[in-house]
Amino acid sequence: MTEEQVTKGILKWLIAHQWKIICFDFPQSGTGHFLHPNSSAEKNKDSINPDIVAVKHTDCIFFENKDRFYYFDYEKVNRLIVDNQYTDDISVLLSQYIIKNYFYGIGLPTKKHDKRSIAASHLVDFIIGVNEDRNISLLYKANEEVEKTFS
Amino acid sequence: MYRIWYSTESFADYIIDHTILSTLQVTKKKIFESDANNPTRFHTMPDHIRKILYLDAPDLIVEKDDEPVFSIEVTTEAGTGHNAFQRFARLAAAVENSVPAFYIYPEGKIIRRKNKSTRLDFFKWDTINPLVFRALEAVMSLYTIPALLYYFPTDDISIYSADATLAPHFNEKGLCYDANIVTYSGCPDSSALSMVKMFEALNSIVNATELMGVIPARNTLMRTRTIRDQRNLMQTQFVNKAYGKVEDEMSPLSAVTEVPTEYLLNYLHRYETRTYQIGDLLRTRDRTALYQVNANFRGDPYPGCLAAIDYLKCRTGLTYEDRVINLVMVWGKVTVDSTNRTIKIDDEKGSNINDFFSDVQSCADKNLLVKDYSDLKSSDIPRYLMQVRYGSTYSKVKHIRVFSYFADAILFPNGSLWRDA
Repeated sequence: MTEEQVTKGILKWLIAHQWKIICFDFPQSGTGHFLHPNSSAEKNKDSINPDIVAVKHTDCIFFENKDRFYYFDYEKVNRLIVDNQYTDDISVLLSQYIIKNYFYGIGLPTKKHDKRSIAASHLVDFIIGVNEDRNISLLYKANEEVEKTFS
Repeated sequence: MYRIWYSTESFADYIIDHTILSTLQVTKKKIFESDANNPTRFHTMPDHIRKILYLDAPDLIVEKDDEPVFSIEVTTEAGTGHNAFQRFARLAAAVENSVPAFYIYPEGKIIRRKNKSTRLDFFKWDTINPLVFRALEAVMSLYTIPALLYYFPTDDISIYSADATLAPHFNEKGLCYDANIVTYSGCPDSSALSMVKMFEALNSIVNATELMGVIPARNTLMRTRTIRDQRNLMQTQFVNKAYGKVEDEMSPLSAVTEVPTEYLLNYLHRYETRTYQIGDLLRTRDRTALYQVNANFRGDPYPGCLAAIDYLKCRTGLTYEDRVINLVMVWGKVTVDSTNRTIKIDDEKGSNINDFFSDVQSCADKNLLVKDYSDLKSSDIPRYLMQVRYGSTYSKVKHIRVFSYFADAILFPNGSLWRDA
């Protein structure tokens, strides 16, 4: 399963569950929305391009997706949770919405959620798996709030 | 049987579903762009596809019975200045192999800028450099193979030019994507007129291919109504958007200085010795175009610009040998010294020939030719054989491949490279 298929599988599921897709990206799609660090003077230095940003009611979710387990993404998501340097650009991106809860997580093929992914899960708010049949599994949720968001 | 080679599966589905390819027998396969960035898979690409990928990889190639039918490049980048030409080498590679090339490019895109005096952000449309239409026309004229640009759909720039923030698709930077984001993620709005016209042109190519076969069909394409109409529209777009400017005032031609070839030869004389003289190729042309890139040595957008300058200014035939003017890339600031009938190249931005050599050397780890048979894994053997046949042709990084393909000479403040023949 490619990263493109992972992202498209999650998009389909989110749309079916009434999430509004704000932006998305996968390799060579040419889409996506770059977020720059707060007070960044340089054009694209340290900017990030989330793989999916979606909104439902007052919740907003951010995804980093891959076709495999990739520890660096878990660390990257963790930095967004504990030390978000992109709040200015996120505010602009979501200026039409009133957001109370932000959650940051990982998307990957379900079968790639192995021991290493389980061990790293504490770094993120959620892990969503795309099954071979393209159905979706919530593989990890950090707390009840996250569970409520996806229910 | 048609085979669709793609960089994103969404775009392959988009093209299949909106053309008569959907009624034909079609399979899909992923493109592996080069031996440099897909070393474990590139050698599995068929030889006739590799030829198109030699300079750079397009987003989609459609083939029938092992003959390429057309290729498509799609971009959402803003096309001002040099940027419009960033992907030009990909188009050239297709057309030089007699494969029709389609380029989907936005007429404009909303970009955030900073007001230099107030330091406040503002939004404006960056619009396409119309010289790209002339460059495509030059390619078409030389090869009599379609090289057509269709606009990536956007909000109407004429309506929202004064205040880009009012554009309906402001959050998408003015670009109009297909509404079906799950199946056609990131693809242009299929209901837009430019895309409808492109589907018509693609259908006319597939129809001709079905009727006559791939190669005989190619000879008829330039007479096809849909293709002639788009060619005319591109000419009109150039005139309407050039606002009376001549081509030489537009980027990248505005960075080109033309000198008598004697000036170049006098500059290169320092490399001649008692036993070595600069060869005949450069001498056979009276004039030389110096493309000045006063920057650190790097890739995009310069490879595509160099390719475009070749077609706009130098080429008269199908290969680099068929040029009326030498094409020389200069990394550094050029001064023409009319008194001594030579040129001078100064380093202002850290241009250094060692960076060129370093980029070439960085590809050495892809080279299997230095290995013993016992060092090769089974999966390396087909790749080894490809490299035996083609050397490092596909193993070098793109900008090195393109610069060395198009330039008759590449000059740096501290060193030079040139062709003898």
